[in-house]
Amino acid sequence: MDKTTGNGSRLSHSDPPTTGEEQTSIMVWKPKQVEEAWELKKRFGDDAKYISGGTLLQMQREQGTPFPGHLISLENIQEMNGISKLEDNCSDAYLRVGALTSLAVCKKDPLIQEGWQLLAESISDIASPAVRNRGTIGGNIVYGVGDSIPALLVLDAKVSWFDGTKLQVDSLWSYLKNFASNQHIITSLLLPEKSVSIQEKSWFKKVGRRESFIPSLITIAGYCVCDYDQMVVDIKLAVGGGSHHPQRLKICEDILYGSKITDHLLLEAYEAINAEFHPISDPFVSGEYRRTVAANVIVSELLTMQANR
Amino acid sequence: MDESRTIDILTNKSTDRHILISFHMNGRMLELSVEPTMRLIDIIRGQLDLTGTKISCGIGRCGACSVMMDGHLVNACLVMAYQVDQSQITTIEGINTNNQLHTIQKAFLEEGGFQCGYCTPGMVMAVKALIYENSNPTEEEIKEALSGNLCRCTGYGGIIRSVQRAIKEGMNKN
Amino acid sequence: MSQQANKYTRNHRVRPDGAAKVTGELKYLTDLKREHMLYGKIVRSAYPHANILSINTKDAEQLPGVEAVITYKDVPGLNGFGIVMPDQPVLCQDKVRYVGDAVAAVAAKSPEIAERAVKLIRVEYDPLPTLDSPEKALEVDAPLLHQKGNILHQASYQKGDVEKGFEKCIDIVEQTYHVPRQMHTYMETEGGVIVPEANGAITVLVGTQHGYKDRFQLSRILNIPEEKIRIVSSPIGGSFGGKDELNIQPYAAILALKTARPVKIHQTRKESVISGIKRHPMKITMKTGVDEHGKIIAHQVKIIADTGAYSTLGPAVLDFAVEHATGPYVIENVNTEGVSVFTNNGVSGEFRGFGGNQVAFALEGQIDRLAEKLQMDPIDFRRMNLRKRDDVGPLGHRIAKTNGASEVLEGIASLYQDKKTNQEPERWKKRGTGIAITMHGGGLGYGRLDPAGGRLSLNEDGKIEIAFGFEEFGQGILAVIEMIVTEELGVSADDLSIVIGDTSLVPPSGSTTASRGTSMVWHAVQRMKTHFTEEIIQSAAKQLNISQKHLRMGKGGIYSDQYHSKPLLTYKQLVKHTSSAIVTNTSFDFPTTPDEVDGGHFLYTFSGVMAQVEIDLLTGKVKVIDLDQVIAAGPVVNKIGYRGQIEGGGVMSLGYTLMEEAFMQEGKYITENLDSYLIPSIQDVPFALGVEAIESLDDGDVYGPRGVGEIGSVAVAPAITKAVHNAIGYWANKLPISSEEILNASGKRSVTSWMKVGQ
Ligand SMILES: Cc1cc2nc3c(=O)[nH]c(=O)nc-3n(C[C@H](O)[C@H](O)[C@H](O)COP(=O)(O)OP(=O)(O)OC[C@H]3O[C@@H](n4cnc5c(N)ncnc54)[C@H](O)[C@@H]3O)c2cc1C
Ligand code: FES
Ligand code: FES
Repeated sequence: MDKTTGNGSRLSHSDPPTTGEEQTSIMVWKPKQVEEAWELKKRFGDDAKYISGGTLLQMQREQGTPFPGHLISLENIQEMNGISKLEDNCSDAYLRVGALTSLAVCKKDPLIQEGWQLLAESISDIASPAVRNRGTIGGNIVYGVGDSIPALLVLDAKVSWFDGTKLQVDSLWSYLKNFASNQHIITSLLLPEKSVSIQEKSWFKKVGRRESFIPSLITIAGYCVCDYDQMVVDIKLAVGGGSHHPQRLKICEDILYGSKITDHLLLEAYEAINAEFHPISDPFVSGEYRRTVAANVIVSELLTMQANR
Repeated sequence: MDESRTIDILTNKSTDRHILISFHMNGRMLELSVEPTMRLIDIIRGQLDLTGTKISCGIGRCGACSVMMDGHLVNACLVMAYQVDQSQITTIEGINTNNQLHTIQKAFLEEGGFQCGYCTPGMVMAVKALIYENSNPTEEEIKEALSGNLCRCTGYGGIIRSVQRAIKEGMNKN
Repeated sequence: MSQQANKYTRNHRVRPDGAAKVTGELKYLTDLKREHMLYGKIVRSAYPHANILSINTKDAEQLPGVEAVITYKDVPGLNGFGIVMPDQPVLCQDKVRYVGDAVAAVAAKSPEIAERAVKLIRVEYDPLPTLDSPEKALEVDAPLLHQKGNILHQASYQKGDVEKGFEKCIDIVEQTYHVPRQMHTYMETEGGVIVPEANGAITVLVGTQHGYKDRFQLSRILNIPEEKIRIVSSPIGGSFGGKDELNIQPYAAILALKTARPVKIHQTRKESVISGIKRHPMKITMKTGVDEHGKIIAHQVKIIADTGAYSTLGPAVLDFAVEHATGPYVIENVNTEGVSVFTNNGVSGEFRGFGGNQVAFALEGQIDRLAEKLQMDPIDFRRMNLRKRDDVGPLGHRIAKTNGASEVLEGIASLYQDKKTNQEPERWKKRGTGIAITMHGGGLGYGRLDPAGGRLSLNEDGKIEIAFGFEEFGQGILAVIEMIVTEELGVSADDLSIVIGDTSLVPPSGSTTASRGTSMVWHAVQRMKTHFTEEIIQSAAKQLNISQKHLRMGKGGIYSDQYHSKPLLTYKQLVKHTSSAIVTNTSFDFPTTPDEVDGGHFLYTFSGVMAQVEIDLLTGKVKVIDLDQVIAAGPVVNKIGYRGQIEGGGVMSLGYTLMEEAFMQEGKYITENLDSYLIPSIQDVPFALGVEAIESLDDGDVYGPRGVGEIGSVAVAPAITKAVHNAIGYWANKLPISSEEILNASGKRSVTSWMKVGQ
């Protein structure tokens, strides 16, 4: 690909011309196809980064992480845009959310608000309206500690990414576990439609040192379905926050799954969270605090399901 | 902004390492030759000398640099030149028509929505973005809309009263 | 706003500087540009404590676009600054004592080049042990930060015999309180432009609270006479005490003189955090005892203040804290000892409240703990120990008579009755209410140079020009001036021209600090109005050939007592035909106590605060859902301004109580920007804040309206702290109160116990 022609139009950077001094210039590329973006990245390797809204990268630059020599803007890649309903081959229905969709658009989208409220809720707690107007959902996922991730995990979201040859799809949970460090291009999110159930509950909670517009100390999301006998038939729990990479609380989920919600069961669940979640301490709060809040929030939510009986 | 300034900018030395961007600034078409990763805030304050837009944190954490981009509120410290290409930017200087104060500005003036005034341009832009989308916001909606704009002087009391006044005046008009 | 009739009846007025602020047209000094202007940047120390082995600026100097690089060698005069003692080097030569210490500075054609040049300056250090707490600095073998040692200042106050007092007590509470390093967080970071003028003069366009003081300090540093320095210091995007001391002025000035070009410096937020002064962190131990009647009879206080690397106003802040350690209570036996200690932490200095906020947190904490111990109502307990109208001040000195303490207590007591809700919050939440009161001195206090002054004149344009050496940094002093002058002279705002903030145009008025602005304006106008009016009327009488006694000043000009609808002579006409200039000057000292008590104040303001909180038991988060204040500070001059000061001060202290801490580890800031140094956002404050003004003054009080710049910030922390206690029974003794300690305290960590909570 020629950098002055074709789809990857060339943009370059320099210091003010008055200096008369050569500086390594930063180039911004605007490919129109995922393949091209991939090629560019392959070509420049560590000297290039993808960029979507740029909110995170710009903030990090200001905080001392310089830009690489090349920025590959994904903004012109059409297929990474838009929100639409999809049916996959097994005729399960999905909502496809392009990775370039801004957080603000996700939050306000009527389809998301109706069917995936938890995602909208989690996005409401991210940054500020102005940042959400620029920041993308794809960027939030690649951020690794984005606050939408716990919500997406309990919604059982899938991601689609480009691996250099084709588009791959897998659950977000397995993607984060296996591929997070690979520099794939995330192209979209797939949100599975759920059958509606009466005994169902989902929740999202982000705790920071201020009421809003604040980095997370701990972020908790949960989804639980019970049948008529108070038996847990579906349960997903996820936690993140601080520099902690979001995780599913699998042991706790296993304990809950297939059992009736009782005080005794919740006690076990509480212990399980303590055993499997090991968040870090920082100058502001201890890991212990994070863990306790996670356990408190999860168990208190489940308790209300029991009380409904 | 006056004509001569526009021309000045156009004749600004451009090198091959700069990019040419064109955009609307407060309704006027501008073309600039700039580094692609230059921050919008530096374009506004530095290149165009439109100093109504302020800078305070530089990392998207205070809202002092709030401007509108294609009708949406953004932090000018987080937006880069290449992203500004082909967009419509509105700053505080662009919101009062015919030298008349905008309803929001009047409300801020009369209700004590500011003290030192440094957060005020950004705050006014955020209120504008709010009322543009929602002419009768609830208490919660007001708080959410302004949650990215910090003010150290007022304790927000005067700002809230200003917003309520602006909403009321806006509704009276319609 | 109620009580006494207020003559400032039309006191709901739009600020004169308002329109330019809401339109963004107002040029702050950091918005300025000048032709051929260079951009300056300052190199700060890499270590909190180190010897400097060498400074190499060669590479930076050779960078194209760099016009000057300066180090200690380039300081023409005294290499030091500091409002009281100039012990802070402008540019360090052999030693650095904190991370904000400046080592070099550059001026370049663009900010980017300056930035790069800074990176090319190589400084070799030999790190020294970091004294990151007063305790460490006081150790016997601690390295000495200054020649005279690590103690900046000691202050004490004795009354009666505390030891004997304690023997008679039936209950004693002893507690140590910790308060954090709070950052002013003015939204406009430090900066401005310094312009070299002909004959080696300079114009300094940089925000400050005291232009004349800056002029004096800069003259010493630059070794040029004060007359050659003009300081233009308004408008300022917030200060709160933080811009009273010099910040970037010396660097921009030296660079401007060296390059003969205007130099602009505007610090980034991170640079501001690292170099700027903060509120003194203090460790305050109080031991307080009561007799069998519930009367406090003994009070012992030890204050250790972390003043950081240099003096600035550290001594005065400590004195203030010592003075206010008994607050509005009358106690027979008192022993207060304070020490302000040099460390390698950030420099502490002036901040809204001036040491009062720190001790108020501790003192009101003691009062509430004692009330609990005695099982007394906290309001009754306060009533019992409160000062009365004729009581002397906290240092035993005479003060202007005032019943403010009791007025705010009764005010807040009745609010408390109305507002303390028993409304059940949601499950897992608890609510609580608390009150606190305080008393706060205005002005700098006895024995401190506290000059004030102003000038009234009829200028060439026929405007009544009122000039003060004050600065406008958001507090609304312009509106106050307009209000007072129009009211006292009977003229209209259109007749006025207000001049402030420029040493070439205004008389010295002292610093815009210590809640003295409003008072000072009022006093100055009281002093000048009769003489000025006489001169005007005399001159008018001559021109009109009418006897003086039939003339009076009014809106737009001079009126006769017969004919009211139009002036006989406009001010413009008057000035045209007046032979000699009509000018009245005044200079006086801010009123202080007649008693020789160092630092003792004379005019005090009072506040009562009520806070209601809601605590989330699952997360430990505390949310303030109500914050109301009752203030006694004399007549309200400008309603909007008054309310704004109290609300703004209140929310600033809400932050102090729940989230603000410029956190340092081993002498380095962990919180470098507004993502980790948190100030309240709109979501953290109650939607409606309550402010009630008690405007009455004692009969015969001739001192007029008092300033309210600080009072709204002083007693908020203890009220919130008590509200937390009221909700969950936990006494916080450290600020900011963290969610983690609340979670631990509410003891709901074991499922079995907390499952029952809130059911
Ligand atoms: C003031 C401020 C507050 C913030 N608050 C929060 C918060 O509360 N919670 C939170 O979760 N986040 C927060 N963020 C972080 C971040 O900005 C958001 O997570 C945002 O969603 C990132 O999106 P972006 O498009 O701007 O990312 P960019 O900055 O464009 O990119 C971020 C990273 O993702 C990579 N990337 C972007 N898109 C893709 C893609 N499609 N495929 C592969 N790689 C990609 C980039 O290479 C880069 O490494 C905040 C940021 C700021 C500036
Ligand atoms: S300067 Fe842009 S948000 Fe603070
Ligand atoms: S008015 Fe000063 S920061 Fe808002």
